Amino acid sequence: MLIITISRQTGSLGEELAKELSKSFGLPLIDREYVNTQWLSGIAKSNQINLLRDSPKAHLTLSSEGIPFYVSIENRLKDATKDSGAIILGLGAEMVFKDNPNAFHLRIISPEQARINRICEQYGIDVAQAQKFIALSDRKHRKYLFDIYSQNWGDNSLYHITFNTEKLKITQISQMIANMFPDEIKNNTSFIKIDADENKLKKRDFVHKSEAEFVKILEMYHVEWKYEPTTFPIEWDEEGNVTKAFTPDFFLPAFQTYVELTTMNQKYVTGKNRKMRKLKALYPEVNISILYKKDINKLLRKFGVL
Amino acid sequence: MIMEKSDGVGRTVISKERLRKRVIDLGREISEDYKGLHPVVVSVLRGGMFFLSDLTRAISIPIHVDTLSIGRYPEGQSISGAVKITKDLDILITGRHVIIAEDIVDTGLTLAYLTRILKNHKPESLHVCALLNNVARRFINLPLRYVGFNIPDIFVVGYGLDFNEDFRHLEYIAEYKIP
Repeated sequence: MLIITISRQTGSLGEELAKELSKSFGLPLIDREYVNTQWLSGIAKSNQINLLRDSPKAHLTLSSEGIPFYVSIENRLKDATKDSGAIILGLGAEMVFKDNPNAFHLRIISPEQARINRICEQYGIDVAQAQKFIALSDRKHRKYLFDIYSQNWGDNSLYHITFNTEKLKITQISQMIANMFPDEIKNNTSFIKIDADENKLKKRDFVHKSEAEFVKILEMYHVEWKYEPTTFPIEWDEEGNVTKAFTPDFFLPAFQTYVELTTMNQKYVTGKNRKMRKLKALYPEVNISILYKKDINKLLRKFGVL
Repeated sequence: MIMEKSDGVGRTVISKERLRKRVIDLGREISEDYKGLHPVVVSVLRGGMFFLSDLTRAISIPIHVDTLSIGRYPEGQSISGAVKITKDLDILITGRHVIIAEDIVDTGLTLAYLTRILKNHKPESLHVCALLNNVARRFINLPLRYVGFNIPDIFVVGYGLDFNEDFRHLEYIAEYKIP
């Protein structure tokens, strides 16, 4: 049994490595998105999930289980890996499995310029926006480890090995790790039931029914989609901490377009419109469309759902 | 007037005369832009058939004309079936200049699918001529080189556009109140 935890700098290809290891080793991938959609939805309200997504400190507040959210996550991580291995991206897993003899902790880094270039390319934003994006995202990772575990994210002693992906390819790193653990990988036959391709969410994973129906329409037209892949910070406090963020429901990679659905009543729509305006002002290059309740109903009617 | 008001057909949005004049203008623009390029004008059956017919006759340069059909399967299970090409192009468009003559662009979904399919044939260029443009319902933005009319967010019928296969034959574009 092998548990690989991955801590990564933003834009260092940590996510890509996690997916590659999951695919190559046949191990389930557990990441923040998985935790939010599969675990937290049962113990947190939607506004709490949004807060947890944006604020590391919110993990110290109590879940419906009467224990802090981070403990709920720890318990589930331990349960999920009790009888089988996993690839765990972020989530402070290097601390959760600090003393676990089967756990191997990776740190993925890259020079700043390489990370900026990747973020620019990935999101179609300029250098200044990418620098801000990286700074805010790394701050969130750093704060999670500090606020929850009082640990320094950059402390190399927390990790067994650090890979610099400036020149190393993901497949090369994957092969190196495979060579390090030949027996564990070969003997790994018992998987926990998590889809390794975490982007393909099942209907039950969506917060709203309309999202699942919207996906059906996209798939009818063979439009590739990703569910909530990006969070855009839109407000910061005086110390630069993100106080408000916006996560559009869908991203359509082929059209570089985000789509936000809303089935809320009018008073909530007003708040969402305000967020949209801020997002457009801060990230003018980002294409985003909002579909209101009436738009969604029209679409569903057009395709025979209503 | 061919249909009665009681059939659900509301006010006229674009008259027969305005349609005729604008389509002639579009044909003239295309003739100028594609001079010497011998483009292929493609439209989707059945909604685009009247527009294709009038537009191509308003083009004064040599062109080829072709049609395709998009449907869903399995038939009758609209939401569960993915769209597919039910009638493909007969003309080889590889290396050709292609103009898609669309009756209406609203969400952008159909056009996105269509352009992806046509791009697979590697045309020299691919542009869109949309008779009607309903911007309010757009969430996939694709460039429209030619637009006949921008319309408000209403359901329209006529000039090829239907509701349950009715009203395609109207010579004008009318608002339709869905029962």
